Amino acid sequence: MKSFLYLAVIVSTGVQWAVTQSYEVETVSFPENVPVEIGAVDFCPDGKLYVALRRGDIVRAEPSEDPNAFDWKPFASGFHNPCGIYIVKPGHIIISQMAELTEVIDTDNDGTADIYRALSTDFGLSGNYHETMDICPDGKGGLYLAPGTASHNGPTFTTPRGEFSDAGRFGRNYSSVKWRGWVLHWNRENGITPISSGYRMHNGIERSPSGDIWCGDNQGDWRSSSPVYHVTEDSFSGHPSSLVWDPRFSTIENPLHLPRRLLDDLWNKPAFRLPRTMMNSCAEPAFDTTKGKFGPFEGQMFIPDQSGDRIVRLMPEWVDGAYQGAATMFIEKDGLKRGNNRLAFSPDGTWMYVGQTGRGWGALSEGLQRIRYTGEMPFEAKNCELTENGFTITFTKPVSAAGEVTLERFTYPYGYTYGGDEINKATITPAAVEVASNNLTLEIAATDLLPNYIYRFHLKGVKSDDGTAFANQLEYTLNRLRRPATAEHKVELTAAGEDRFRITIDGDLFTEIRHTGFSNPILYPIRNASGTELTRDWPIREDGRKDEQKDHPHHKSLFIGHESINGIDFWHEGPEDGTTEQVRVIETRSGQDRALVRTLNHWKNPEGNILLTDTRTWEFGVVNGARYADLELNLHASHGEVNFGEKKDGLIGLRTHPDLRLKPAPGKGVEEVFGHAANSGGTENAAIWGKKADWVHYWGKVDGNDSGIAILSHPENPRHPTWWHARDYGLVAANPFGPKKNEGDGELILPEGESLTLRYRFIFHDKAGEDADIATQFTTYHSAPLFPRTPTIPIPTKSGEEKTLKIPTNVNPRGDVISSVTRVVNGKKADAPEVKIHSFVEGQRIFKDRAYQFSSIPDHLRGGDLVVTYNDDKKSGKKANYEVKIGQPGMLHVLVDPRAEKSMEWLTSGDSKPAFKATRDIVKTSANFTYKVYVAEVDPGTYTLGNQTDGSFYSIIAVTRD
Amino acid sequence: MAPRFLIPDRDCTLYAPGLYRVQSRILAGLFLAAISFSQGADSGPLLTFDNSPMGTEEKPLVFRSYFPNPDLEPEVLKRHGQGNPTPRYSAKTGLLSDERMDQAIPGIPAAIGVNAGKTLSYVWDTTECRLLYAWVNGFLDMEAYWGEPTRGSRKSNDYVPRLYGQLFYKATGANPLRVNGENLPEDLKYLYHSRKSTHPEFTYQAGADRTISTMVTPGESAQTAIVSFRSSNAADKLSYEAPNTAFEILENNSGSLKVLLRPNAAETFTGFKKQEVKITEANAKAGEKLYQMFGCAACHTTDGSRNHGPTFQGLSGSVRKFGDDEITADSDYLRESIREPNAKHVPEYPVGMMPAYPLSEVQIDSLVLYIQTLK
Repeated sequence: MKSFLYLAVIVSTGVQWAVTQSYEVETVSFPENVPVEIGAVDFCPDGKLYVALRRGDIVRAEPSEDPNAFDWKPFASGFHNPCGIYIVKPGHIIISQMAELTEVIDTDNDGTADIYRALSTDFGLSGNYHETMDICPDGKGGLYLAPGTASHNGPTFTTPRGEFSDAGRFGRNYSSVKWRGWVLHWNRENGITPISSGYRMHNGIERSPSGDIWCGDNQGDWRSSSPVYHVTEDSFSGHPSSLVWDPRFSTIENPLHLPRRLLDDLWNKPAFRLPRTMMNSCAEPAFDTTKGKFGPFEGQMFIPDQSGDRIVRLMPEWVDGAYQGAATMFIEKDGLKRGNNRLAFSPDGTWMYVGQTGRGWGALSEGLQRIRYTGEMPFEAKNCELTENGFTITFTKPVSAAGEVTLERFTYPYGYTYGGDEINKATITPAAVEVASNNLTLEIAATDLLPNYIYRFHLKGVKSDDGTAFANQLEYTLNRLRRPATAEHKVELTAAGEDRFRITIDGDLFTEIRHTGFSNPILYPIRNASGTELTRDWPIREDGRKDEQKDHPHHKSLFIGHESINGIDFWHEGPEDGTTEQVRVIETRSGQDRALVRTLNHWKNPEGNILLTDTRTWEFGVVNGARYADLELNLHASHGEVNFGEKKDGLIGLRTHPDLRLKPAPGKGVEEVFGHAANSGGTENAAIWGKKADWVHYWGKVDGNDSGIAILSHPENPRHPTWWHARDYGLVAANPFGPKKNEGDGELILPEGESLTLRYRFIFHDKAGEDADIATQFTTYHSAPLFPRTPTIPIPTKSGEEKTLKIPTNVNPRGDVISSVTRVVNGKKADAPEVKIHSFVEGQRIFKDRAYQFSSIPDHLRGGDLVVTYNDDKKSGKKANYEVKIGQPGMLHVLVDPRAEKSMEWLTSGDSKPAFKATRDIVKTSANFTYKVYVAEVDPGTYTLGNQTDGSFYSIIAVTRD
Repeated sequence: MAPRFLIPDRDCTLYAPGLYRVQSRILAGLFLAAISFSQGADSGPLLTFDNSPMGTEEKPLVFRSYFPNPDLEPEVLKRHGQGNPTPRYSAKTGLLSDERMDQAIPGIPAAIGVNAGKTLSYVWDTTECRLLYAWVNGFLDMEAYWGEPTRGSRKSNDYVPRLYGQLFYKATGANPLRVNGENLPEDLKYLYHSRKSTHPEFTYQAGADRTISTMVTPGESAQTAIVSFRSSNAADKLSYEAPNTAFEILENNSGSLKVLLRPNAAETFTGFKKQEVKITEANAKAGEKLYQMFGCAACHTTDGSRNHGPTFQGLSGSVRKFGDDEITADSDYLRESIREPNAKHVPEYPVGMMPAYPLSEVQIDSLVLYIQTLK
């Protein structure tokens, strides 16, 4: 038998793909006729290599220099698709197979195992072929388990092992039995403990040298590309099927139809999102601990592609409380086969072993290969780091020239469809690119970085000092921006006991989130920078301050509730009233210029049934010299339609310190007050009740010290400016559901599957009245960029039509130019076309009567208004016109199929009103045509667009004028 | 591959399971001298591409897989879950069907199968902690799970091996073992099995202070099996009650019991029947069968939804883009893509994933006709 040694490949252009010269690949032989379908590989400390073959045998050998001379010997047998191995000591291993975590021991030291002990059978097995499982050590004698989901390509059994969930069975990849799609922890004392949910097929879990747990996942449903996750406790990794086993979602009828914003908020984003040009199916990661023996990438992570002939190198870094980082190709082809499933470094660090399997995935590719560093330093990105205003890329060799460097930004849609394209693309030209004085590091300044995007570097012009051009891919998954290294204040948020988070600024208490023990999570106490407490004590402190009136016991400092949600009162706290319960901490960030916590909360009726859920983020910090608390409250119709009743008592409530009251209550404990109030419209004191305003401000002396509280409603809030329920006894509440008779907007019905986002900022200051300058605070608040949301694929509906995106939040809104459109067919008014404000985005439907969608839109048009026109009006005998009413000055665009241009003289002649001009822009579609774009400047007024007839059809969009 | 009823003589050569095939015998003979592979003193040989793995009486094969359910009474599998049919999910639309259901199929998820050559095969279940069924003259045909012997490529989606041989025993009713006259507790828990003896012995927890161990061995006469039970509590009185089963107590000592099981079933199984599609003239219907049979569905959908390969819906006649080239997917293109899947590679899909299938002209034409129906 022959082994293959692959040496350097010189690409015909003369560009050397440096890595291939630096690494060589060879194939290790196995006994003839044995299928080398490798489920797992690992080294024993004694130097023996253990290999799990997926038909069920475990073999081991002393590796030899000659890849054909391995003395493979059977060690154990009879496993069902073993895909995970952990070696306890020589002759004692743990194997994960389909139905069992199994300990295998050679008790009589005769070279083969004789005891096969079930360490755990406490996870279900549906009978589907796809439910394989990998394991990794926890560093303390226990293991982490990654039980994969089932595939819709295969069935389930009538008699699965364990409880079967009908709702878990729905979907492309699914979790019909327990803990499929979870990461579990196991140890001998406690058995199985669920750790993290939301995985699709985490075929490969590994512990890093620093003790972090990592796993990859495969492109597919809910996975536009292949993600790599840092596994943390009680996290959710985005694939919803596994949620059926989470008691907090046990009453969900179909996890695939949960509100998209809820899923996006619950989703702890992957540290890496690898594009298809790098990865199709992430398998088991490995970490380079070879101290340079394997080349210049000490400490970095490698992850193989189970459906490709490649291994990717990852460079994780810790940014604002989570891992993220850059990915580049380590090796592709050059002798490496497909099916790369498991990696293991030889104990001496010389070889990376690669176990391959292809069974079940098309073309046969399986075997055992090994890769060695030749000692020839490659020209590669050794590291890539995010800075406060750009990136640094450090190369393995000195850089002689940077050339032209550009960045491309993109993201992916999130939803049930298989895989997804790169969308919302934009090219970024760096403000500056410099080679640092060490000659190794490229410093790239880019001012307009957005989080929740992936950045692709174009570095073709970068050359090493020996003239080698950089020819690799390099991409950075930027989930979080880097916070300022030198911040004026340090804000910390820590769990204090079981019932609260404690927030301090520079060590001094700001507030506590008391999430347990009340009818809803509240903030109490709340102090300004001078240490003055600004909200009411009673009834949280039973005796309260002296001089407090003991009225309205539900007015607890800062609280959230509403008098009528599906008829249940969440404002008061009687036995018939609802409660809001914090059920999950999604994430916390602490120790920088601001701190935050995001939680999941259930709104329950008195019987304990969930009516709706919310995800809320509280962020704390200092702005313009005052302490602030920002609330983003996302209310989700996760358990059916939600009706927010037309009631005055709601929604975000605050009860001030009695000194800030506008009116005393003689005889009831409040003899003297010092409060003043004003709103953004200039209305003062008690008159602010029932008025709409951007903000409301209460100020005055509290305990003799200048103090104040302002509540600011974000202009993006629905029904902004909001209605204020602000009383003279110190209650102030922002209420979007205020009664119509008091100039409110009345009830709001949130259809099942939809979400409502509300944002407020609370300012707690220690200034005298006007000095607080709340108007400036409001400007600061609304001009700060909002975090870009993940574009989500809507919940499908039976009619096959996607629900209208009301206002997409993932694009820069450029529209609100078109007020309305009338369609006239053969001189008669016909069905009006829908106008979608700010909604000209990829994926939107083009026509009312066709399923085609827009697939690529120039950046400067994305986010404009879209008129959904009628394709069929092109039919002969029909003549259609659109009367477009423009409300704001803007640019009106007509998109035409160039094939139909000749029958659209009204447009192309240039003497229409408005006068359209052809542009070089193109808009791509999912249909077999690409639109050419015409544009005209328009002022408010009504414009009639010309005849749609003789086979011509077009689309209408509008954007604001720059 | 349908299994042969010629039973391999596993203990005499290294790769015996394959040797009953003449062709394999010659090939293996050629390689024997060259192979440096050596076996441990009492290590069994490794599994090979042979889809009919077998053990021997001296060295039984212990084997885990999904196992078929030969129509066992529900009572026998009562500790299992209930896998329901659910509304069919469309990966394309994300919707659940109002009419069609995804059916659940019979199968045993977590059992251990043992073959001791011609004389005994049995399935012992780690969920029920009992012997489920036993047969002779064969073991399993793995083709539905493992695919064709030499290719190792998936060909089927049911992943349940087929039995072959004569089934003579099926468990009936509740667990037959009684301890001190009582039924076993409900919460049996499989603990481990030992391979220190010739035959594996299975041990499970039966209540807080007791484990039971079970070994199954061939009986002296054909189509019988001996089930031996041991309790960790030597004072236990073990007894056996099984309706509709002919059994004989061979030994009953304090803390142990040996039961001879006689046939209570007679069913013949012949392994996996490969679907044959005989085509005289190319036609779309035959193409559809080939699409199912060759596992095309694993990568190519017919409803427009995305998968590892391009969907077949609307493929015919569409314009395929390869860089700057545009090619209409006509019948020549489709033929080429089946014969040489990587001749033209649609950029967004993995390279080299699809193997070249050894199909005849009439089969390829049928597939092309089928693809052309998928508008």
